[in-house]
Amino acid sequence: MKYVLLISACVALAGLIWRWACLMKCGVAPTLSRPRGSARQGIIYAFSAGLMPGSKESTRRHTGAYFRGILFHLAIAVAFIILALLLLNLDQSLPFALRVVFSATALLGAVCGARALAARIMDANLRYLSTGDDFVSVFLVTGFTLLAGLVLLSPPVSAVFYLWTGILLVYLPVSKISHFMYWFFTRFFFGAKYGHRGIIPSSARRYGHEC
Amino acid sequence: MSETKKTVPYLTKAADLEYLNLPLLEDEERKAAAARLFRQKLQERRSFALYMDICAHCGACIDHCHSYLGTGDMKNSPVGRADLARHFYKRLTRRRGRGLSSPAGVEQEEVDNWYTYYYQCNECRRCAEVCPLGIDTAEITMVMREILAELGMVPRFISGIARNMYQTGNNMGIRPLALQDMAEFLEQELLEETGLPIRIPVNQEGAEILYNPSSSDFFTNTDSIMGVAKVFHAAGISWTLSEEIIETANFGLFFHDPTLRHHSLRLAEAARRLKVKRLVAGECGHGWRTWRMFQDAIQGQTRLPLTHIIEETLFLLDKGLIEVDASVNQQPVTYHDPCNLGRGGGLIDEPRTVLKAVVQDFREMYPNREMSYCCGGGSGLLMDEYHEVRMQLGKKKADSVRAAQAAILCAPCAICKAQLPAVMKHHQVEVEVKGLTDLVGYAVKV
Repeated sequence: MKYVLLISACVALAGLIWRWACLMKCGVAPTLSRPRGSARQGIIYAFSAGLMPGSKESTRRHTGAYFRGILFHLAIAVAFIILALLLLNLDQSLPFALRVVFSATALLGAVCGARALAARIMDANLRYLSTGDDFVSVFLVTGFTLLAGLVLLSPPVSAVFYLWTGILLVYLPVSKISHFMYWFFTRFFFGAKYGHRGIIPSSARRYGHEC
Repeated sequence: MSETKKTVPYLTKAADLEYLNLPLLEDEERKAAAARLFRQKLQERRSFALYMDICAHCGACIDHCHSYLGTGDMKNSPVGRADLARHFYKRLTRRRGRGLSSPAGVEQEEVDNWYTYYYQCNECRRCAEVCPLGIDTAEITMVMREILAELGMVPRFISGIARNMYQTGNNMGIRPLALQDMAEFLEQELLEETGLPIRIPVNQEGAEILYNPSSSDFFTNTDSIMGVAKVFHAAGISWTLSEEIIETANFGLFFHDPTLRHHSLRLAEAARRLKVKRLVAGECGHGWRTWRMFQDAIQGQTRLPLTHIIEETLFLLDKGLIEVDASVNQQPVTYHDPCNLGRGGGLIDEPRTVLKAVVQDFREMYPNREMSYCCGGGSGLLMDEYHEVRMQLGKKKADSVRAAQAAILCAPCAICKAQLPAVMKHHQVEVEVKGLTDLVGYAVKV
């Protein structure tokens, strides 16, 4: 089963490299206008303070969704750590406390994923937007975190976990899950553009921004 | 899911398309051209290709967009609008892998939806501020409008203004003799008001400043240009207008790069011919963004310093070169951040500093600054056939202004000044709309 997983990982890597190469082939218009702020400061902001819950109107207004999203993504990272531990046969040497923390995080992430799936069905706007890929992607990742959480509690689950992860990895390059790779580009563009224009880092709070 | 009443901008006339060197296509030709142009844009712009791929459909942008909030139409939400392009992109790239080289048809209904909804976006960029991924949906709108232009689909209002720009150097189609007449008329008004020979010079060679107003300053916003004349008079600065170009606005930004470039070059050429030392932009939001983002690149080696009249006024106030009496502006004033001046052009603190100096009672509206809502008229949507849609798009701004409880709404942008009075009346907000230079003009001591 581990070999299947290895092949899946190679497929995922090759797919992502191909997509990255396609993107790199596209042209970029140079910025020739005189700066009003600093693109560098904007980029730093976009990857630091700009990610905090208070920095955006959307996260201020939907704080619950923000923290569910953070927990979901944290759980994905933990699930990959659990996968690595299993592949290296280090899972049994993991201290009990850490095992509980990892397992709980992954399972809580799975709950957040299930909540996100439910929202796509229940919320009229999200239902309108959602494509088949949105459902499949969230379903696969939610299952991944769920199985990662369970595998530490019940080792026989590992075969299912490997199989599920293999499917997830093969699907990854053609799905919206690949946004994990593009995220760095878009945040970079956002920071560079708005930093250059002097819009970010924001000075709004000096004026008592209310919303 | 509700949809906006199918208000579609009147299509441009064949003569205007020909004038702008844009094609007049039959339906079948249009379908083939759409795929070709889409691929071309993907290959030219990495950000566009990226925005087609990355959206996770989280929906964080939906209830922060005045366009969606005003119309309740999901196709008017940032993600819903962008998906009109994304659905085509997915088909285009899945036909034969992701190499962008395969043929893919486009349905006429799809193109019609592009035309309807990409011309209901104000390109205000508020959505970019709230997207967790940093997607700039306005950029998608811009690219799609460029594609639509190459498909011969341009609103008649926008192509008509572009034609005026080519023919006269301004949106209103003002001819040189008419400009001279109007400048003299306004000088007479200033003389009657102040008893002083305050000039509005035209084509004065060797002046320090070439001031480029909005052409509407000569019709509906005359207090704006008179305010500027008073400021320059009080500071003893030589300035001039050019009969070649009296328009900061550049409608090329809304649909067509060659038009944008032509108007910007015309400005550079007018400045060179009049041998001025610097260029000062008047109260026009998107015009200022065009200057800030493109004028340097277009002017090339001969680039002159570019400033905005708000920056000039702030400098003169700071240095004590002009004096103001805020007691003449006693009514409560609130400030609307025009999207292209603030989010798009970086002028956020400066107008507030000037405003606080020239009025007695300044009140912030909320949200403000880089999170300000659009007036609903930006990016070429000021067309008559869109009146109902524009009133819907302006609803969030009307709510903000109402809550500020001000008597005067200061909006230093010609499009905002045209849109906001109608929006305020429609939503029953009792407020008078003024430009910032109007208020400075009332307060400056000449």
